[in-house]
Amino acid sequence: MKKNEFDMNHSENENKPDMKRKEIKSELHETKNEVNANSIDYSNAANGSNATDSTNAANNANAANFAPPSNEPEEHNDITGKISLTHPEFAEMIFLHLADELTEEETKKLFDHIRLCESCKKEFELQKEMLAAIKSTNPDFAVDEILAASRKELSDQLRSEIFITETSGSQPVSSEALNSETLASEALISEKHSSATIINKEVKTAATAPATNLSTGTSNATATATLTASTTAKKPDFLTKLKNYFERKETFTQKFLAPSLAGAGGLAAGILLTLLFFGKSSGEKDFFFTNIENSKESRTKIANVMFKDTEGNDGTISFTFDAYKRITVTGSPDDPNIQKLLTYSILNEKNPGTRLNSINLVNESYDKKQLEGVKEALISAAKSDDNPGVRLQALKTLATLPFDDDIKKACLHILSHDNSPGNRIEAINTLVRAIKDGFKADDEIKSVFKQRLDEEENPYIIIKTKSVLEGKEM
Amino acid sequence: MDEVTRQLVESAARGEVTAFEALVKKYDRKVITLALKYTRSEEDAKDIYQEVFIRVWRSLPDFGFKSEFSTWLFRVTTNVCLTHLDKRKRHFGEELSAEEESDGDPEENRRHIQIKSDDPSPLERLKSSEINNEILKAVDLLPDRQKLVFTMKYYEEFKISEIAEATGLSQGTIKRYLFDATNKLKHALKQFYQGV
Repeated sequence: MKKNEFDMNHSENENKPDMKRKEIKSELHETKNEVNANSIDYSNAANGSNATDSTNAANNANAANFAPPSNEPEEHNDITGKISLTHPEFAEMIFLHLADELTEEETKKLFDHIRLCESCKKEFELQKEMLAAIKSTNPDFAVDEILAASRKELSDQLRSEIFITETSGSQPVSSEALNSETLASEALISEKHSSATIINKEVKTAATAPATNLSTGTSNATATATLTASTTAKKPDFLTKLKNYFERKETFTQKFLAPSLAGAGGLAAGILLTLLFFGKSSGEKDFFFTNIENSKESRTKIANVMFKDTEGNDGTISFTFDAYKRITVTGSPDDPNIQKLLTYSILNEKNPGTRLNSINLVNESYDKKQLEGVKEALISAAKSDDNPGVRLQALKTLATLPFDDDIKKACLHILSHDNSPGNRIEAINTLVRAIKDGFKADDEIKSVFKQRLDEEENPYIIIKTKSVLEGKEM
Repeated sequence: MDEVTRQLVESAARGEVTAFEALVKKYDRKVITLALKYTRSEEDAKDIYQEVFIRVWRSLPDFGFKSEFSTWLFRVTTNVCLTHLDKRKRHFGEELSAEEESDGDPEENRRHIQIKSDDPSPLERLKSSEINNEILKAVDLLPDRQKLVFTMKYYEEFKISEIAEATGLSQGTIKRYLFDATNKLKHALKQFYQGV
């Protein structure tokens, strides 16, 4: 029941026709003025379009959709035609009342009139009944299912959109798809909904250095992250509720949560970026690319977006995606930053050919003394790379570096454990060369060599081992 | 505009698809519901949904925060609703009715509606699916703009001020659309209500 709902059963003036006519005439005069002030606009509809013309290009093309209707004001027809001739203002008021758009005062005026006017009373009943019938035809759809399907389709479409624009280069897709600001805002969302988190960061980083070009390296980075996003309000007066909700939240968040959450978001971003390129914890600031001047990044590409939970009970969704971009880096192999790239490639690149090429690039460095940063990676590769060719090339490259205890230990390890005779031979040759060059055959070397005499099957290695133990190689 | 939305819009405008997904999630229920109620077609509503958000995605760099994001989004939605239906009509070779072209001639409207008035009681008729079908037919025959405003008001329960904000029309114009639409429905359903 609306406020001041008309009481159809009581009319104070039903037995006073003269008074009734006078009152109606007077009310009509008053009401006409008021209704005109708040009236239906029969003028050019475009006049109203300036009120919120702050929208953008997306609407410009469609501005004509709400262009003014061309026809002149119509008469306020009703079924019987009586109201249009006598009380058009009240016909409008009835309509506005049923649309819940009249003020309390206007509503009172309307009902005061309806008590006195049989035709308006009929009109009121008619419109009320019809409106109820109209509202009963409100279609009912399985919105959740349709929404889920639409979101998935949109996700796919956005993905293809990004790839298309990547190709054409027309869309300003950010090269910092996982930057701190975004994650900070995601953290804010997550706090608001108490459920959104970055829950799965799985990072694979790779670097490729073309064997034919000493000065160029190209890296690929792939990250997988899972995050959640908020849901929308469901009530009919969406705009108001949404506004109220965020005004309420905003105050609290701005005062108490925003600084800490922004910090948390930044930290998360830092961790993710670190993992993205090195798989190490944040705190290591010297990423090779942060100091490289001659680097060129492509735009980030998003791929394989997969919804994990499209409509969770807590009102959030989760999805994963791959974000990657190609970075071209130019620099000398002597450049410590380039060496970090090469180091990572030697240790982590899946393709053994790429690992081998990376080692070759190190091997072709102009100044071997500057390769200290890569030595550990070479030792690691020489000792434990899955591919014997890579292990051998790493050892050969190590052999070009100034011999030291680290390289000695690596050679002894290979001599003892590598199942490839070629690698063991290269290891003992490296050791023998170093001893000939003056490196002391210490007890550790002799101990390993003695052990090899018992276990080694390769005659060349046995001979070489014996000669060292007998002091012939000194 | 609240700070979170602003951040999401800014990030999305820079091409951050994740930020855009979050924005979509915040507002898309209202978009799909309006599209469903307006078109009464799941397929059309899905098409509108896609078009709205792709259009928003492409236009975000030009958004400029001159209005609320939600206002802008619903402006785009209402316009896409109108253009979509128009395109569909052209696609299927349907001629726009004279009523639509002239923005509302009740007589033209009535020609398209088969009024049935055999039922003895208006109340019984009201409850029948038959009258509901007639209402739906009558609503479908409203000019596109009127139909959209009518849908927003009576099916989605927007306030007139909200419709005005979403469409960029004045409140007076919205009232006029609604009033005209109501009158057309009255005419279209005239015979059902003669006994009232």
